[in-house]
Amino acid sequence: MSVINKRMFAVILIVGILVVVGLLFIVSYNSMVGKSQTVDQNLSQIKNRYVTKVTILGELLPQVQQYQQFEASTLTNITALRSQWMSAIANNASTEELSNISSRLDANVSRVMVTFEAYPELQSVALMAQYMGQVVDVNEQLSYARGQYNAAVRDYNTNIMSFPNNMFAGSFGFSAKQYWGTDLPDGEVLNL
Amino acid sequence: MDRGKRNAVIAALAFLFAVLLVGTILVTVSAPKEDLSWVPTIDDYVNDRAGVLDPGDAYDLEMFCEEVEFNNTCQIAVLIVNSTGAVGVNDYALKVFEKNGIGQEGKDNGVLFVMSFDERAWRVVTGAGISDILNGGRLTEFQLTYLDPNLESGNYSKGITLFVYAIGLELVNNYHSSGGGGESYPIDFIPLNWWQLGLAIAVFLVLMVATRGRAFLWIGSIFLGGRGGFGGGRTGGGGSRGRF
Repeated sequence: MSVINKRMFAVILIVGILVVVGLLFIVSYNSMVGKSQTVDQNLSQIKNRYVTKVTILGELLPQVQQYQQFEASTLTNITALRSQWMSAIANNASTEELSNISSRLDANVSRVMVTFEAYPELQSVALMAQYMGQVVDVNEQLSYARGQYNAAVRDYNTNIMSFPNNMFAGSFGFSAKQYWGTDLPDGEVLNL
Repeated sequence: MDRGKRNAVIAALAFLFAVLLVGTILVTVSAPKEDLSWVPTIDDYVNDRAGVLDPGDAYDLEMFCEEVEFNNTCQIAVLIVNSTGAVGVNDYALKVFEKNGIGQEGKDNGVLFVMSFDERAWRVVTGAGISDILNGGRLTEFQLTYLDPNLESGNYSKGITLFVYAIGLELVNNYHSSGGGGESYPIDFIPLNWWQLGLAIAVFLVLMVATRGRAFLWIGSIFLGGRGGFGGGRTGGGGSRGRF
C-alpha cells in the first residue's frame, strides 16, 4: 500500500468513526428526548385526573358531612389536602411533593369509601352512591395513569442508565425521574 | 498478511464494532415489553366462556351490540369467564381491553364488561373517548337499577343483559360520532353507496367467472369466520366495578 493510500485509509477511517459516533449521539439524544416526553405526558394525565378527583370531592364533601357515620377528622383532612393539592398545582410543585399530597388524600378518601361500603343505609342514598361511583371511576383512571407513568419512567430510566447513554445523559441534562408512589411518606401515620 | 490486508481487516472490524454499538443502543436500552400472550383474544361482541348467559340473551346481546356499532361506531364487548386467576378481575379487564383494542382507533369509544364468576366480581372498562358519558356516577346508577338486584336474586343472565342494554342505550343517546353512523346506504345492512356496491358486484362476477365458481367457497369463509375483531381503541382505565 502506498503512502497516499495509507493516508487516505486513515482519513476515511477517522471520518467513518466520527460519522458513526455522531449518529450514535443523535440516536441516543432523540431517544432520551422521546422517552422524557412520554414521561411528562403521562405525568400530566395524572395531574388532570387528580384535578377531576379534587373537583368531585368538592361536590361529595357537603353530601357526606350530613352523615355522622363519617369521621369528622377524615373529612377535615380531605378538605385541607384538597386545598394543598390545588395550591401545589398552581405553584408548579415537584413530582415528589404532588405524590406525597396525593398519597395522603387517597388514604383519607379510601377511609370514606370504606365507611360508605360498611353502611347499607348510606349506599341506598342514590346521590351519594353516584358520587362514590365517580370517585371509584376516577380512582381506576388514576391507578391506570400511575401504572402508565411508572412504566414510562422505568423505560426512560433504563434508557439513560444503559451504556453508552449513561456516558453523556448527564451532560445533556437528563437525570433519573421519580416514580409515582402511593404509600404515605416515611414515618407518617394517617391522622384519624 | 501484508499491510493492505491488515488495514482492510482493521477497517472491517471497526465498522462491525460501530454497527454493533448503534444496534445495541437501538435494541437494548428500552425496558422489556410486557408479555400479553396470556390475555385472551376476543372476536365476538359477547364472549360467554362460563356458560352464564341464556342462549337467547346472548344472541340478543350480540345483535344489540352490533346495532350500537352500526349506529354510532361505539364497540361494546362482554366477556364472562370462570376465573381470572391470580391477576384479578381489575387488571384482567384492563389487559383484555388493551390487547383487543376495543373501540375505534382515534375515537377510543369502546366499553368492556368483564365478569369473573368464581370470584363473584365484575369490572367495566370504558374507552378514553366515552369516559365522560359513561362516567362512574352513570354506571353506578345502572348497576343499582339493573345489575345488583338481578345478581342478588340469581338472575345473572337478565342482570348482565339489562346492564349492557343500559350502557348501549346511553351511548346511542349521547355519543355522536363524526363520520360514523347516520349515513344512509342503498341496502341498510351493507355500508356501501351505489357506485361501491356496483363495483363490488362487478368484482364478484369477474371472480366467479374467472374461478368457475370457486370464488363462492372463498367468499363463504368470510361469513363462516365470525367478526373481524375490534378496532384499536384505547382506555384511560376508567369505568366501574363491583362484587356480588
